[in-house]
Amino acid sequence: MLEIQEKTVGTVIVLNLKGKITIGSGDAALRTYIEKLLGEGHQRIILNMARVSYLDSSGTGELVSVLIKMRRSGGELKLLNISQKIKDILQIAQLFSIFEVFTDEAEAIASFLADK
Amino acid sequence: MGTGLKVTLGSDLKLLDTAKLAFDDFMEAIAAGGEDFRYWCWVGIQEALANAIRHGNSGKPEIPVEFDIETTGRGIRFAITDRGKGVVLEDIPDPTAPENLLCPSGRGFLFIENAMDRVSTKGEPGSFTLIMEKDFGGK
Repeated sequence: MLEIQEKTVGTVIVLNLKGKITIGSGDAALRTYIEKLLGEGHQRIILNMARVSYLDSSGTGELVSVLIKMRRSGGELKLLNISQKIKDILQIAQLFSIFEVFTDEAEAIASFLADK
Repeated sequence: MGTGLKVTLGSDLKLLDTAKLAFDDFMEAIAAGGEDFRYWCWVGIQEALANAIRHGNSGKPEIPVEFDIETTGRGIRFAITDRGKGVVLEDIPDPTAPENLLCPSGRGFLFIENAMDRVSTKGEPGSFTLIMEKDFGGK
């Protein structure tokens, strides 16, 4: 089960995630939510993962998949507050080269302005 | 022979939570391994069960997946058995290769390999078993 709370800061959407992003539990929910945001024209999304307790290979794949969708539509997806265990998972998958990861929400939001 | 547990599940991803409860109860009962040990055990188990359900048994709920846990002298041995044709581990593409890095799938076995100390397979006609061992004090 994945809970998603949406916060808007200017042109940036921060999604506060709570729960698991795993096969059959969270992966589809995240995809559907981000597709909805893309459909509404949002192109700057931050996933606050402070309260994501577990990420499996399907969830990891889903993060990659939504990142690619965002970039193809001219947008960008950034990660915020990932736990050590999720860091380990992304490290194993060697995905740090493709994701921008932040520990401070204000910095993550400001980085979109720097991307302009 | 060590302490063991055998759980038979239908091929339904919703039953991963049932398997997790059984695993947690077993670990509590044997009072072994810290939080990290248990976390990485479950990383391997969850990926192996999901593969067995989705690929081995093609997600058909009526086909069983067997989940065996047994303590060994130096750690715990997990065996996941489905009714599929199985895979040759060496043939699984490397998901960290540059050409595969952006693929949305194909990382399950990578996570299993990294979570466990040893991984092997046993195949018979109509049955495929993935055997994973994690040592106390291992990686």
